[in-house]
This record gives sequence, C-alpha cells and structure tokens, in this order.
Amino acid sequence: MMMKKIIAMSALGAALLLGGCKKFLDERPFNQVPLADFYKNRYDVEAAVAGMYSGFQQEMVGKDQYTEKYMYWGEYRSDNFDRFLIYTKDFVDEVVLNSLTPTNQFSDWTGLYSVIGRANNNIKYIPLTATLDPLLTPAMVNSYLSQTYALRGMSYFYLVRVWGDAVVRLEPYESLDAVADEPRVAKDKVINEVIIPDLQKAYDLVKKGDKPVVFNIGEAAICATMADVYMWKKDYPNAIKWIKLLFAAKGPTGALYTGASELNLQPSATWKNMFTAPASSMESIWSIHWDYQKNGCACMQTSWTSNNKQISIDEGIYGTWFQPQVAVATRTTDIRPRQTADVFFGGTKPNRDRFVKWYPTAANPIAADPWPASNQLLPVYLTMYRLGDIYLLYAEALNATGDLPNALKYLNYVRKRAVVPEYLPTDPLVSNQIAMENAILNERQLELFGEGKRWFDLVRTNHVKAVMDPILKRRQTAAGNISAPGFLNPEHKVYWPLHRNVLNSNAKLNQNPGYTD
Amino acid sequence: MYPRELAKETGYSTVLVNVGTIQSKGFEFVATGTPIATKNFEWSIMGNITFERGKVKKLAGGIPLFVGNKWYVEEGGKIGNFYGWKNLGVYQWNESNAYDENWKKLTLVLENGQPKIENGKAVYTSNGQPYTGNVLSKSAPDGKLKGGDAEWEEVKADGVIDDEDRQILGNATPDFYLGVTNNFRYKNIALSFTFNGSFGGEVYNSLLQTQNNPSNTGAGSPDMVYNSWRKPGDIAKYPYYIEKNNRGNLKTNQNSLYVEDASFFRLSSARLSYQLNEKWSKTVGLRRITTYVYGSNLLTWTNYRGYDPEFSTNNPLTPGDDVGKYPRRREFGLGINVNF
Repeated sequence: MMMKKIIAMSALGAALLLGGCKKFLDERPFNQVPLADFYKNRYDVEAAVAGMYSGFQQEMVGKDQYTEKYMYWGEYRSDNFDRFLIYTKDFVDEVVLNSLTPTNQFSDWTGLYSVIGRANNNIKYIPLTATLDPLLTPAMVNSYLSQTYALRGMSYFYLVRVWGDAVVRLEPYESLDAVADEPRVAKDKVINEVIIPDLQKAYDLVKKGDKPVVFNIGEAAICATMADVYMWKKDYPNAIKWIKLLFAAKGPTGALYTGASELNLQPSATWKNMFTAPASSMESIWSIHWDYQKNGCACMQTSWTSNNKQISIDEGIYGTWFQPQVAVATRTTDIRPRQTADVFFGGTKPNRDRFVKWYPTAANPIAADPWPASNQLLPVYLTMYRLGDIYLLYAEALNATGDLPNALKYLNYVRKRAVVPEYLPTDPLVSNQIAMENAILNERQLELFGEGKRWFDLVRTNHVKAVMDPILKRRQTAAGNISAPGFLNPEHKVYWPLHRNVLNSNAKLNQNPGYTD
Repeated sequence: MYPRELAKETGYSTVLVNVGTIQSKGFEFVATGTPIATKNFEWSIMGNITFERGKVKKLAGGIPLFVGNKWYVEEGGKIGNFYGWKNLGVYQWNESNAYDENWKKLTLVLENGQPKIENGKAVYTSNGQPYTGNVLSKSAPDGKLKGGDAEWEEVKADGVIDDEDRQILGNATPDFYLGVTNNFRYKNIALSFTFNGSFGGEVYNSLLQTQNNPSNTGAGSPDMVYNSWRKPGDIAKYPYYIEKNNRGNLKTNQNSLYVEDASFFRLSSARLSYQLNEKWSKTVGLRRITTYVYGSNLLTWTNYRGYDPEFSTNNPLTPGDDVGKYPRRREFGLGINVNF
C-alpha cells in the first residue's frame, strides 16, 4: 500500500517535471531574435541591411586590433609592407615571408560567409516584408535588394581572389536538417554564375542617376565592382563598358563622374578630402564607414593606435618614395608620399609605421606638423573604389585592347593631379604595351598605397613572381636563411590556404594545392 | 550545451547543441584517525586523495576544435590537452640538420671542433657506422633550418615542419590531488598543520614565454640570456635570438619548451596555540584565553619555474595557462582569542 503510494507520487512528480520541461528549458537568448519574428516591417529591413554592412565593415577594418583584412588580403603580402621585426608575430612572419599555413588566422573565411548569410536572408525576406508593411515602398525594396546583391557579389569576389574556388550558398541556411557541408565550386564558375549575375541584378535594381550615399553601394560602386571583376577575368571590352557606365553615374556630391579629364578628380590642393570627408568629394565612389565615437578605435596598422605595430612600410618602397621627401633637396613634386606616411618622424631611422593617409594632414606637410591633433578621435574611411582607381583600371583595360594613346591619357590624368611629370608618348616607359602595363601598375602602387589593392593588382596582372622575387630574396637573406629562393610556387601561393577550422567543420572541403591538407 | 562547429559557408560559425559529452570520472579516498588520545596528548590525522580523469566522450559531428590558442579538444581526448610542436633542442651546426631517408637523425662527425668535411660534404655516422647514403634536411615553410634554429619533432615525416606536426604536449589536469591534516595537542598547547599537493598536471608557462621574448628590450630572462645559441657549435636550449622570428623558431603558445610539470607539495597552513590556565583567566574575569600564531602557504616543493603552480581558471576548456598570475600570498599572524 505504502509502496504503491510512493510510485504514484513519483509518477506524478515525473509528469509534472516533463510537462514543465518545455516551459522551463525553452530559454531564448536575449540578444537574438528568431528569424520567424523578424522581417516584419520597414525598420527590421533597415536593421538587416545595416547588419550586413556592419559584417563587411568588421571584416575589412577588423574586430580586434590589427586584424584589418582589407590589408591582410589586399596588400600585406605585397611589396608595399613588411613585418616590423621587433613587434612581429608568428602569423605576420608567415604573411610577409610567403610561408602561410592553415593555422594563420587571416586564412579564415568565416566572416565573409557571415556577410553572405545575412545577404541571403535579405534577398529572401525583404520582398516578403514588403507585403506586410506598406511603409516599405517598392523603391526602397529595390534599393535595399540592389545593395544586398552587390555586397554579396563583392564578398564572393573577395573569396575568389583570396582562396580561388569557393563554396556557393545563395539561400539562407535556416534549419540544421539542411545540408551544411557543400564542396567548393571552381573560381571561374563562381565569377560567371554568381558574382556577375549578382552585380547585374544590383545594377538592374538600382535607380539610375541617383545621388548616392558614399558609404552605401550605389550605381557607380556597382559599375566599379563589375569593372574590377571583368579586369580580374581579363575581359577588357566588358571592363571598358562598365567603366563608361560608371562615368554616366552620379557621385556623392550630385555631380556626374564624367571621366573626361583630371578635372573630374579631387583637385591636387585638396587631395586629402576624399579620404577624410568622402561624402564631399567628387572622386569618391564607395568608402567604408568607421566612426571612432560609435565603433571605437579602428586600430589598424595603417591607422592611429596607442600600441606598437606588427607591420610597417617595406624598406624598398620607403627608400625610393618616402625617405627622399624628408630633405627639401631630394624632395619631389609628388603630393602623395608626404600625405600617405609621416616621413619626418624618426629622422634617418624611421619606424616606417606612421601611416597618415586617412587623417587630415597639411597638403604640403613639414616636419613640424606631421600628425593631426587628437587623431585617435577621428574617423577612418577606407576607400573601396574611387575615380582615380577607376582611371588607372581604365588605362589598364585600354592598353590591353591596344589603345595606347587613350591609356596614356588616363594614366597622365592621375599623374597630373599628383603633380608629377606626365609621360610623353615617346617615353620608353610607356611606348609599348608591356612598358605601359608596368607604368600603370607602378602608378597604381603609389596612388593607391594602403588602399588594399596592390596584392590583387599583382595577381591580376601576373606580376607576383617578378615583383615579389627580389623582395622575398632580400627578406630571406636578412632572415639569415641558408638560401634565398625568392617567391616559391607562385602558381599555388598566390592563393591563401583554407583555415584548419574551416576545413575541419566541412567534410567536403579540400585544401588549396601547395598547403598541408 | 555545447557550441558545435558548423560549416562556415552557411553563414554561421557554431550552433548550440546538446551533443557534446564530457565525462569526468574519479574517486576520492578519505581517511581519518586518532592514533593517540590520552589525557595530556592527542594526535589526530585526516588525509584525502582524489583521482580525476576528464575525457571528451563525444563531440558533435566528431569535429575537433581548437580552444583558445593552446588547447585541442577531440573525441576521446582529455580535457586540457596542450597542443603544439615538440621541441628537440637547437641545431648546433648548419650541418646538424641531417637525416637519413627515413628521417632518422644522423650524427655529425667533428674534427678539431668543427664539422668534418670530406669532398665538400659533411661526414655523418648512423648507429656508429659511417653513413654514405642520401642526406636529407628539414625546412620551415620559409626556409631550410640551420645552426641556431630550433629542432622539432615531426609527426608527419615529410621534411617540412608545419601544422601537421603538432601533437599533444601535455595535459593540465593533475593525476591526483593529496591533502593531509595533522592535529597535535599536548596539555594546553595545540599544533595543527595541513599539507596539500597536486601531481601529474602540466602548466603552460606563458609568463616565461613572454619574458623570454619581450618586444623591444632584448632578451628578457636570465634563462634566455644564458641558454641561447650564439655561435656554431653551441649546445643550447633556445634558438639564436637575432633570428628568433624566422623559420618558425618561436612557435608562440604551442611550444613544448614552456609546458612544465606543475606538480607540487606544500605546507599550506599551520597553527600553534596555547590556552592560558583557566585560573588566571578567571582572575581577570574571563572564561578562557587562547593565544596563537599561525601561517599559511609556508613552504612549497615544486619544480615549476613560475610563481605558483596552483591557480584557478575560469573556462573549463582552457585550464593551466599561467600568464603570471599573482601567487598565493604567504601569511603570518598571531592572535588572541577571548571567551567571556
């Protein structure tokens, strides 16, 4: 009798517990919203688009100090930057010595796929939200979708340039029952079947002739990305076509880019404005927003930080372009080097780590006024595309199609604005197609120094081996290596390895050749 | 709940699921006794010993993961495994980086304190016999290893020291803990003291690693200064300081040189007290007066080179990383206990 009672009571207890389980244990994180409760109105959509941009911004500028992938992917592997020997880290050594391994933190593509995942959600749900909230007008839907497609295309473009073949995901991953592990798709296929269609959709949806917000992807930014993609494909007629469409679009000041001469570029005297106040520059196309007040310290190795840097400007380019600017006697007319790095600090033994391009400095700086006051409180706006960049891309495309006179014209517009002598058509440096390609590449190196372009330029034009060999040999000799073989295996090593965690988490991935699987 | 690694291309990094299982097995043995108890003398003793084995039974999808910058969690592995490269010393000479075709290290023959060279080639022996076969050497991804470079054990013998050559270097969980408390009383005098200890656990000495490689002030610790390779022929523990950043010489946070035995045995507390004769206390109107002296953390026996091998960690997956935490303080005191 007693025993039965106990069993009955325990059964009741168990029933209560089981019944209660769902309610007690179904905890939801406070800082997250289930997808089913989101995308209900215009404000949700605005937040979702902002979240997508924010993911991309954090990839480029970096979540933590010195993690700016804008530079790690776009420039630190090139001849523009080297390790700062005293403060370097193991992963920086790998980057500058062409000895990357799958444990290098910058070989992790997770962040880009996070941006792509957010874009996939937007593409699926923004049109559905429009049926729920009349405040979300068709014009807004088109604008947000256009930006979303463009940013997804841009993210895939980074994937293809950094790792080559990439996994393609165009639908949101919404259930753990769905297949998570997908193999990589060939890089050409990603370009042709994902990136170009995405950018085309973005262009079709964007309202033509609108005055864009410089921190968003507008009409011209889509054209610029498309041109860049076709340049990567070496499809020059299409690149030229998209650059011409860009010239017909409006910049953030409301003026047409036109692309007729150096007069469409930011004037020499106020060259700095397009970096410090991109919204007010006729040259700006798309910049990344980073506000110290809202986002905290940008803390890149090419911005102000309170700590020592692991990366500095390479001694080669420093010696030929920056150092001669210190003394008036050896100084050139070029307006750029002294506004790019503080050449005065440190005298004959500079640290080469004082990068000032993003900050308002005097147009003609002298030793007395190198760093702006309270620079740590200033915003940093990284340029993704600007008209000077496009002029040089245009010159590269025209040169490749055999139109040397027009290529020279656009190369000279940039040089004229930089206040350096324009090339004469007879100059052996530009008198044939190969020389011209090199001259354009060299101009891009200087004009776009620190803008995350140089490495991709070297890969695109197949100049990695030729340019990096002597640099690597010098670094290998300085490192005390027994032999200095230069930049080994460029056919494989132009790509990064896939990070070990990325490989482990998806059974269908394989490592890039030349790296350990 | 456990964050399961998800294919990164889904746009998500991890998902919280319930399928990681960590098993902690162990047993504790406690003994107490009072061997002597007379009117004037009493001795009681209490001892305990605890064995603990933490193991990762199951991980979602079987996907191993790196935790922090030193630990590796895999199915069937122990919790707190340090992961990295096993250091085998420093190459004495450029010619010391020499292996036979099975990657077995060759012995360099010296002549007048220099490597013996015949026909432009260094002379080696293998198992005491002259070696005439092919001589292979190992490389880092950025160059061939040479005299003054650190030598590493290869897990995958391919001549390249890379991330595939990492292995379990040690474990932060002790094999067993020990505690012994003794209480003695002789008439009015009482003495009690406690020993505790922990055996078989390892600690990653991050403090020493940082001291050895400060950023801009030169070699930092005496250990580094006196044990670095300086010139060909040196038998050293640390690589050539000038070239420490090259050819993977540092292996920061994953270097077996800094995985140290954290076993210790310590006199953690002692207390000696004297109770005044009750007749005296009553004359001042008090029931009982006890005076005592005590101390804590008095003596430690350990081979660990950091401040203190005993410290706590917040994250159970990342135990045993000594970044130079404040050691336990040593305390002495005396007091008087008055009962009204």
